Amino acid sequence: MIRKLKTYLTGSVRRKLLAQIILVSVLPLIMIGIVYTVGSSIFVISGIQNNLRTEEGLVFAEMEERFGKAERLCRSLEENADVQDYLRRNFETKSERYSLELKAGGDLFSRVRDDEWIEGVYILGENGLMLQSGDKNFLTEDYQDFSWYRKTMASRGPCWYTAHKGSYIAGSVTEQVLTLCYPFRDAKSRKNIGVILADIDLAKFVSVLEGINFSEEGYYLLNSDNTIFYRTGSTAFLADYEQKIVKLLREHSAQIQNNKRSIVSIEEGNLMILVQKSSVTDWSILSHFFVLSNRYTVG
Amino acid sequence: MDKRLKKIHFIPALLLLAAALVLLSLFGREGEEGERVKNETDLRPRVVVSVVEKNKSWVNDFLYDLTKEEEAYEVIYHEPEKYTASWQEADLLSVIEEGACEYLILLPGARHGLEEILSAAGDQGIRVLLITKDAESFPGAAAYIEADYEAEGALIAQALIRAYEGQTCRIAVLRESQDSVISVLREKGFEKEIAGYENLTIADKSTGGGSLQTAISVMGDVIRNLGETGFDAVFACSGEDGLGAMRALESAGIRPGEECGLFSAGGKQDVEKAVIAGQYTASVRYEVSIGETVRGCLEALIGGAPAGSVRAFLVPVLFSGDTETEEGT
Repeated sequence: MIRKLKTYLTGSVRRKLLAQIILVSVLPLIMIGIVYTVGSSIFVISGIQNNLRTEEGLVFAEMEERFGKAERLCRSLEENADVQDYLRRNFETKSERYSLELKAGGDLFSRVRDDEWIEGVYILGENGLMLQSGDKNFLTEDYQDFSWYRKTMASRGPCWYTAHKGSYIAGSVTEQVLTLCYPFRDAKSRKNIGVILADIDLAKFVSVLEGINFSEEGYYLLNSDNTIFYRTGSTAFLADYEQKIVKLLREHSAQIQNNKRSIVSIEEGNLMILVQKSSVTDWSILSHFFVLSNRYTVG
Repeated sequence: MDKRLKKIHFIPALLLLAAALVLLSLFGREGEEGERVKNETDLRPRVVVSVVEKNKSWVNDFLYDLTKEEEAYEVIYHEPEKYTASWQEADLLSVIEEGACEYLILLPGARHGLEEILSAAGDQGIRVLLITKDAESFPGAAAYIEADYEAEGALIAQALIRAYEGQTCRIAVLRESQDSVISVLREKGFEKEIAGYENLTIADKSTGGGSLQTAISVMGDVIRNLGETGFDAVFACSGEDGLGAMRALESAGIRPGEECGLFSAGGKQDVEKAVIAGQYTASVRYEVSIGETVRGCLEALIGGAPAGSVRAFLVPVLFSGDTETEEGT
């Protein structure tokens, strides 16, 4: 075909001229098109990447603030003289204990009523006291055999638990709950005498983050092992992308682990991920940037 | 012009068109998403729960009881966009039309439209568990959970009548919401029961909203409006409203259960703690919780019980400070 065309175009002067005209008119157009396309793609991609970094920084800062706020709330309860007194008391009767639980529950309610994303705050004392900020039904009267309780009692600092259905403590059907378990230390004896537990409604927690998110696909939240435990946006997910992200996370886990409070960029082929690790929870936030040969998406 | 030459003129045009198409494809597919995949198919029977009660705490307790051993079925709760019977009817007809479930747990917001819903569900092979006061009026459901909310109101009224025998009592009523069928019927039962007693009068009626936060605020207003001595007892149509009233009374320096009687037609754990602690006079609860009762009926149906053969009654019992035991009706 090409040979035939070549023979035809070189057959006469007129045809040769025609071939030259085609070359002179079309080639520059194609060249300009290619240069424009490549240049624009680089410009757009770099712009998106910068925006993504800025947005991720904002989302991350908001998330850190909230994790920090939950811990500060628990610390303030631990340092509260009244609550210290409550957890040191011995109760002669159930009536006496219930009376205090209702009274102190009212105080706890006032402390968290403005933070909608905190679904509930509970204080469980070794003396049997069970306080809560809301009016949910406790699942049992004895939590001491639960692993999260034992782990917190044995620890010196807060323990964070990634998304799970419902509360560990009270009847709740909230689909995704993050839990902060905080050991309650007796200021006098310096021993742990109870556990403060804060349930965070993950949907409400991230809804505010999504408010400053320019991408519909949103973000991933990863636990300390870099396993994805939450993705914002749709419940369906981009399976192909996600497998690649998981692979990259596995390969670069040490790099992510060692870089707290700064964004780590990882690139492989057309995929770029940005990961930032929380210094409060040891979890990370991840956004990704996917470039195909002729298209890009941001997530 | 030579015909062959004419044809050749099309070549640059075609090349230009191709280049334009390439450029368009580069910029025209911005943000396109990859193929989305659905989660693994869940083969468990799907159970849609339809309740248009604004009291989230009550619904939360109900759903929790229903789902705590959920392995055998998948519960889908349709949170109402509007807490009205017409929203419920439209939502259910669409659920039924889509065949989105095999079982439907229905606490109807109104009698109107119920027959149509039951008939449509029957046509689609969806088995309905109907929570109702009058099962006989609505044939066609697979299971009936009968509740008499008026009787619950009457039962707590009897406790109040006994507590204030021979004394004058001005009652502040804290209803849950005008839209709540349960609340309206409990209030009706309560008022019917105290109607014959001249020593008992209604001093105020307010809407607590069925949540701790709103009830505290509303009861605070009631105390300000009536004055601390303007009422002797509070009747709340739900446990949440009762607990809110208790906190508001405490804030105002009134000792609930002692200086002011506190009664509610709905109970929950904190209400019972308050009764035991002497800060709440009495409440009504079910012998077996509504969630557990419904779960039992659902499991019977899933286990193969024939439609119409499953019936349960929610037995209201009094939980009072005098006895700390239950008195059946």
